[in-house]
Amino acid sequence: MSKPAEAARRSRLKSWLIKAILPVVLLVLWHLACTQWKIHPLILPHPFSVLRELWSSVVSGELWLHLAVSLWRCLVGFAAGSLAGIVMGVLLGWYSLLDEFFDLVVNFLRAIPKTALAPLFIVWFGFGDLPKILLIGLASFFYTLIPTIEGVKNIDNLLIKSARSLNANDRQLLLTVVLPSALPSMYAGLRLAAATSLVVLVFVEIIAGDSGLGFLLEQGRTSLNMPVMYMTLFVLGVVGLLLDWLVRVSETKLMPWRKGKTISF
Amino acid sequence: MDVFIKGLCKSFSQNGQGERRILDGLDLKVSSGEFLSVLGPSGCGKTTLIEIIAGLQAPDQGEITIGGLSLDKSPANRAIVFQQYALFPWLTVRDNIEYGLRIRGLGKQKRHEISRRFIALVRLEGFEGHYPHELSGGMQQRVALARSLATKPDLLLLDEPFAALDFQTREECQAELLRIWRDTGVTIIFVTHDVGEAIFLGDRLVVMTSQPTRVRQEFAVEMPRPRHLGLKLAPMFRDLEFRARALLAEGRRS
Repeated sequence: MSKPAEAARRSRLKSWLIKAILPVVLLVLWHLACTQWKIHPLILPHPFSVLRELWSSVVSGELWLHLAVSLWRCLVGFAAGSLAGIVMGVLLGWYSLLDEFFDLVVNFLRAIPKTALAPLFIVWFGFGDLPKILLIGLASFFYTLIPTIEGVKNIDNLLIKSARSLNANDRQLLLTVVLPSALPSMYAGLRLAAATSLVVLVFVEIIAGDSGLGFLLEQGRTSLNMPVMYMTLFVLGVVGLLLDWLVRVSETKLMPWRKGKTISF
Repeated sequence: MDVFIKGLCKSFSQNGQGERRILDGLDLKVSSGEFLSVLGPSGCGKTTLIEIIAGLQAPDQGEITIGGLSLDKSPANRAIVFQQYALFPWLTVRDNIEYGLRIRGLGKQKRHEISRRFIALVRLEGFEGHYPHELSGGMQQRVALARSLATKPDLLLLDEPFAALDFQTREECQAELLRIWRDTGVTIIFVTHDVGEAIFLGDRLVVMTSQPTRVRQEFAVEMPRPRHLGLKLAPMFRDLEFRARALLAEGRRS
């Protein structure tokens, strides 16, 4: 192995070691809290019992079932909602008359916390997948809509003039200048929408679930099965990380010119 | 193709305070293949003039003909280079240069063939795959120049293209532009507020007055080509520079 490659490998190893310190310390503290300081297992179960719970629900397939249901709702709602948000955002950003037409209604609906609509949606659509997907979709819609509108409106006028002077017509202007220009803003919205999707999902599953990770949490509470609750929280953390990672990786693939320069709110 | 501009007027409304006249009956003539320098104080409506010729703004009054045909009927191809480069940040150097060709529906092979030629013309071989933010200001402006030239314009409009560059890069770019002009034979209208630049580059120098903008005076720059940067020290050059500066100062005072 050449010298620079060796050095790079070492610095990567070092960075991973540094990152691993805190989780290990926390796990040890957790262990001590259960064994030495005698915190009641109903408040804080021992890490091993959480691990056992994780193992058994993985083996029995129960976890996969709930995870799959949750992911399905989340992804369908997120994909449909963000797609609609981006399409509408481009339209409203491009046609200012349309923007003015929708302005009051959009801003009013946006101002309502999406979780507040859950009771209404349950009355309308019952306890199945539909109200959950719709709420996630609605949240994703608004989180992508607003940044997309801003992104389209704030396009550098000079780039438009450039494209026009090179003979681009309206359609070409939209496809070759407006969309790529607004892409970073759209992605900022997508990241926000992905994070919020998970929040809305778990919330609705807790109050009206027959399956899914939120349901599992609520089940853990009603049966006082703390290891299940902790295990579910851990899985939710992993899912959240994965979602964010997915959005970020696709971002660098789609916008190589930005080299990971992300706008986050 | 010859360009005739006659009686060009343009006003902008100022928030409720009536109109501000930017161009007031401007006449200008550019011959085919000529390098015309337009010199005026900052904010005198030079950009408006360029954008009207480019078709990005409509004049209130006046007439522009290119090759004997009015602007909207003329098939003449006009390209513009802006002070702030205005490259598409999401496109590589090659894709930026090919942008106008793609808009015109040229095939990939033909586009590559043309872009290769213009990348060589502005001496950016080896940077084809770079994104604009990876290049220096001077290199970015050369990409912008190549992007405009790739569409084979009859008329190249340059709006203070080197104003954002440092002194040394600016001088290099001026020499480069002269070489490119000689190689392509394109007609150029070059707008600047830099007196030395205007004289060094142009066949003819038009000095404008401040708002409303009219032509104040015209000079023929009778200095041999090819011109080298050392020319800026010649007595003839200094003399012309002195007169142009005096006119500019006068225009500012009035």
